[in-house]
Amino acid sequence: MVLEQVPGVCPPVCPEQAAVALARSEQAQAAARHASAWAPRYFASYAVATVAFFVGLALGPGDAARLAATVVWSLFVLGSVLYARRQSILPWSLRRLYLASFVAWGALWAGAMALGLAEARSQAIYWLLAGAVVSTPLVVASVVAHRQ
Amino acid sequence: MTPIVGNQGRHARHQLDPLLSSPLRLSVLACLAGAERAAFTFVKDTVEITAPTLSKQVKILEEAGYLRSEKGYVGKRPRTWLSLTDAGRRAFGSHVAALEAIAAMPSARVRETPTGDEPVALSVDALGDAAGQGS
Repeated sequence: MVLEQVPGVCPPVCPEQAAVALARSEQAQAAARHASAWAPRYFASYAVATVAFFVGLALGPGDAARLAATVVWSLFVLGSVLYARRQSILPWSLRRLYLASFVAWGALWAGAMALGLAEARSQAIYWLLAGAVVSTPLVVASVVAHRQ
Repeated sequence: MTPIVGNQGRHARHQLDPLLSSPLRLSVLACLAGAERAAFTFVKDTVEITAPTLSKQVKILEEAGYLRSEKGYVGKRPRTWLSLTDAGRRAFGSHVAALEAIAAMPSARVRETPTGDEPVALSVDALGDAAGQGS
């Protein structure tokens, strides 16, 4: 009869080996989490850019200011798309989070613009508040992505 | 006597996936577990292996239905994406759960049956008896 395991010897899988395998697994998962940190930054930057765009509309009266804000915004969107495409990892459930947050953001954006251009074209406070409200889904998405 | 068993009445090692007993394959799955998909080069760098070695492991995991790979482009550069299938995610989850169950056990003593194919759990006392008989 063969004693397969005695103190100091541990086949086929002993607690020590299992702990080493778990540590190795956790190390790989931690690296993936670290590489996924771009997602909350992406949402946060979009939220900040949204507020900046609406501040631009509030502080810069006239069509020239609106045109400038739109051009800067377009460049930001282009840059953010390129940034996202370059990432080597797509975090778990990011697609759903992205879709939900940008659908909400888009609806708020369209509503704020339609209302503002029709009723509050020159009211700076309206555009500042609109910026804060429109960016809310992206702030929430950033927090959720960070927690994941 | 404290048998070395998991919560399903069998030793937790029976729930280990033989395919994931390879540290490389376990690390590859761990790397992908928190992601919808990851670039081949990212997994290669994270697990610290060469591209041919990772390709070989990917093929094994693909054949087992645990992983899928897709080729695409980022600009003009080709990029291979790796992602876990549902089966791969389940296998990784249960394998890690089994490892956690084993790691939580006190260091156990196990002997093999006379046929040698199925290790049997023993208490410390029983082990002492067996060792006495063997000597």
